[in-house]
Amino acid sequence: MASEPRRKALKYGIVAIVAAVVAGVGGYAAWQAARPAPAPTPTPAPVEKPIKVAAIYVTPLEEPWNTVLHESLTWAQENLGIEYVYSEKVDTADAERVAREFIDAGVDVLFTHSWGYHPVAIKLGEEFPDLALAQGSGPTDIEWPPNIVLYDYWIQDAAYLAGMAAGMMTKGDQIGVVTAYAVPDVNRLVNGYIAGAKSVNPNVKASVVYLESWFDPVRAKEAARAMIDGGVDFIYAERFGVFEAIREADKVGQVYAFGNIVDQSPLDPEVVLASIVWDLHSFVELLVEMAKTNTWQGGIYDWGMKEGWAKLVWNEDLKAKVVPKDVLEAIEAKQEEMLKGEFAAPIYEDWVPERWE
Amino acid sequence: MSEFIDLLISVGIASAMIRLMTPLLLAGVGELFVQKSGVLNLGVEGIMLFGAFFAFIGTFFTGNVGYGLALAIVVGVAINLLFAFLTVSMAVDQVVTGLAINIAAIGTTSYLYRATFPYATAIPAKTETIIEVEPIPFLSSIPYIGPALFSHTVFTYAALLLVPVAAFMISRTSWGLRVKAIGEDPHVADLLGLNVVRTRYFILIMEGVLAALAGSMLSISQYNMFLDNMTQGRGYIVVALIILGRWSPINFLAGSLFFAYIDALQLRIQAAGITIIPYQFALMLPYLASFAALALVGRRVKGPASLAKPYKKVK
Repeated sequence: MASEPRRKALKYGIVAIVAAVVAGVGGYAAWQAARPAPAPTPTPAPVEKPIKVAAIYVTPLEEPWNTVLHESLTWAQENLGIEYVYSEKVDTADAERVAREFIDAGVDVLFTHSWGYHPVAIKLGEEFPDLALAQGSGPTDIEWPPNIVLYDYWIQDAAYLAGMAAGMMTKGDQIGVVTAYAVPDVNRLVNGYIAGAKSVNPNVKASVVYLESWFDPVRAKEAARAMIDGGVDFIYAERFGVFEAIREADKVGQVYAFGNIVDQSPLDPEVVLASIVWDLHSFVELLVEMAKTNTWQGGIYDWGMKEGWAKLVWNEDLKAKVVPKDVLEAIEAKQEEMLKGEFAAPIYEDWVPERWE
Repeated sequence: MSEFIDLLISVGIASAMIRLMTPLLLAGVGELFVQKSGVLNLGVEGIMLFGAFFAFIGTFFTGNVGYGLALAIVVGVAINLLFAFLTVSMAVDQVVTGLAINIAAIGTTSYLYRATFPYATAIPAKTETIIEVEPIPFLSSIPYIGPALFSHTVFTYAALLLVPVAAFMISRTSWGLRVKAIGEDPHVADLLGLNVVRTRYFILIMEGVLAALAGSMLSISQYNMFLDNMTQGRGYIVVALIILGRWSPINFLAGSLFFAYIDALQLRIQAAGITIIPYQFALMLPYLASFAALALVGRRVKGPASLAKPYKKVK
């Protein structure tokens, strides 16, 4: 048949076109997702050239770990006259390319906001000794170039206070944590929360579930349901999914949750009693100041409650309704000690269930 | 010890098992027919993710879960029509195409999410309405069985009904026999006058609907937000469970029940603070148990002989 080759060619042609379209759309989407967001219009006020700050995030901005930095930098853009650009969902393998694009574009301060980025930060820190680099979490037992600021969420003090509330208010002496991975920074919070509860109620039993996943609210919900079935009535929701479990189990008013990193009480004002908040405004303010005055100082910044970094943010309406006076007084007294530097929550970076038995 | 036995057979674990199993079942029944007809669609994971995303978008902007479901189904069918065009009409490699869909789904959904919701607040967008649990009157008040089996969403009831229907269609109807014949040898089936291409298209469209529903369940029923890559590999588990169940709907149901039960159990082992079993081991349990079952279940049963083989009509 004479038409056979032509037909074949036509078929392959169509396949090629469809494949090209699919690849094009996919590639465009990936490029869009990975490329630096266009710089928002700079504020007109400052006379001197504004400081240019860039941030690279490994997951979407909705991840609370990213949300805090993004909000603080957006705030700095509006109030401190910086120029802020960012790129979200940057795979660890792409981090160096994206970082170099930002450096080429002339940023003054670069935030590499993920543990996995730290080798890239070290490499770039050595290559560009004048660049101000801020690395979000990383090992503390290695040598860092002097221009790198290493920061991490040292908010175990706030978790400790939440644990105190849980320990004093629980009806059946059972509290819980639904969390992602047993990594050091997460474990600091888990242990801080349990330590707080144990300090006021030695009989408290802690139930901890690791999901081994950052975004799986359906399984987080099942973990919380399992805890609720077992009699847990105060759950620290390190991940999304716990609040909905309380609602679905019809335990609103009997079981309460604590939000993590950002104030999550708007998600469910009847369930979220308080949030263990990481507030980076003062930190960003300091870094911007250092960059402006050419006094950039690297090193480990392990700020806590005293420096305004860790906060227990109450859901005021619910607090007024359910938290007894003696509980509030005990927590406020402890918070006062923390602010004065007289007390700090213990720091444990591993997960050993026997520790709390 | 008696505490542990209570844990094993509690109402809570039974009901959690059913909840965890539902998305697997919905997507799995579609994929099972697809594989029976000789097509391996690994893209079921991607369709679930597209389903989760578009169900969320549809529900968020209309406030009506019905529109969310409709949008998810339209997109799910469209994606599978693309898959059908490439693999059935053009005989492109099925595994590669399926994986391409999954990769495209991850990138496309998170791009479209940001395009739709430019970041504004610390609290992600969520839907005000979800598809809620509908206990079945009378049946749900039976002790134990009621809360475990009859207090779920419509997704669960539909999924549980679909399995016997699928089993009946495959083994008791002439259409089921035709599907099997096509999956065994499409050339012979074609010579016998069966329309291979049309049958496969039809089944893939059906799978598009079911997988999209399975994904919708995650974002507008079991939860009220879309989060990045929230299907978390459930589609791949479905494919594994079908192969483990040797392409029988009843075995697939048993496998899904087993997998979901072990998953519910591991969460409860952790939640109950049982420390004799390290939590890492508990997390591994569902996969380990499925492997063990795979090794034990008879290997005599063969899958569709033409599975994943590109088919071209001989002129």
